[in-house]
Amino acid sequence: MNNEPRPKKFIFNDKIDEEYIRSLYEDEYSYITEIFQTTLEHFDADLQFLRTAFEKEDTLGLKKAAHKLKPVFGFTGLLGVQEMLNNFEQYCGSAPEFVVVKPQYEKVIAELLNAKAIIEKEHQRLAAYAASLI
Amino acid sequence: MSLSCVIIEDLKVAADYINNCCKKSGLVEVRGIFPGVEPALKFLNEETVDLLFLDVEMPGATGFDLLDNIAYHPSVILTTSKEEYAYNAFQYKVSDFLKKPFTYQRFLEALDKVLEKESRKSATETVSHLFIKCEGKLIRLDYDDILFIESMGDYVRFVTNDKKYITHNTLKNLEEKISSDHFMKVHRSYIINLRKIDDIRENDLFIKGIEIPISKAHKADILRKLTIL
Repeated sequence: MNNEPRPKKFIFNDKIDEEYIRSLYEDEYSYITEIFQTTLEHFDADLQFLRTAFEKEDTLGLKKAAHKLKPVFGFTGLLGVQEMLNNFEQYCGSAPEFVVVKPQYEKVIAELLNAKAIIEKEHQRLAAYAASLI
Repeated sequence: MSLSCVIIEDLKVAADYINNCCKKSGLVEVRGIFPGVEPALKFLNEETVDLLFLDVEMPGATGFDLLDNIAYHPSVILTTSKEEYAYNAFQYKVSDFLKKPFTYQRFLEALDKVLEKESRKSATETVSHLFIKCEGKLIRLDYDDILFIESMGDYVRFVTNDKKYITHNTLKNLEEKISSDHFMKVHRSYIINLRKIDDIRENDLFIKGIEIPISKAHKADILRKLTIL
């Protein structure tokens, strides 16, 4: 008889939509860990598209970069961040000139860096949890 | 039934997710993952696959550019996060449209549509003839004998090497029923046998000396179907 205690159910950060994550990956924790890892590996490069468009004062480029980045946060269950990028994408599409986009952009970058910190922390916790299941 | 596919997606996490869904299904063999249109086209010009998982917005050319330039017609599942592409998706006859991220269940539904389409296609491809009602009897016409089919209002005329047959039908109805490997609509009044084309000049093609107009809407499609060196 195995007397080892079963690991407790993994509880995600409250910014992460747990139900949504489970709808994508069920309870495959090692795979969820991989997804978070891949996201982190490409995070800075993906973010750079936004930064480059901003530096070029390219509103359409910002719209495209936000569109491209949006699903990343769906895959990691950060649906609030995904929604924020969606709003930013729409905003860039209707902004009359670049100057009005700047304050929004700064908020978006701050939110994305915050999201990255959450993903990093969750990745570490997930890796430890997945290992405990083996 | 197992399908071969390629994934054309520049977002790494999305490409990995689609790849994993394919593996999990056991129904799709992934032959390549490409982050953009150019490397994908290079691969697809050398190898054929049954299915493309295709993103639309990628650096450089778009997914629709790939569909304009590919030499054959695999099934296509568009993977995008923009619903505005639904109209284009319809125009390009894609099998399904997956909004990222999508669940595995939704992935399977899309795959089902492709499998159903593929099995209908194989059923059609094994048939090499059709029967038409003409002069009070059913007449068998082998695909290889038909040069072209011409619309005549509520009737159509099948033109073969040595005979013409008029039957009550419409080109629209025929287009859905006959093999797309052999036949193609090139004008609102003509479906032609692709294997019988002698030459193409500007907006006309010739079959056994008979001139058949090609409409602007069909010109690109017909050129895609031909092997042009």
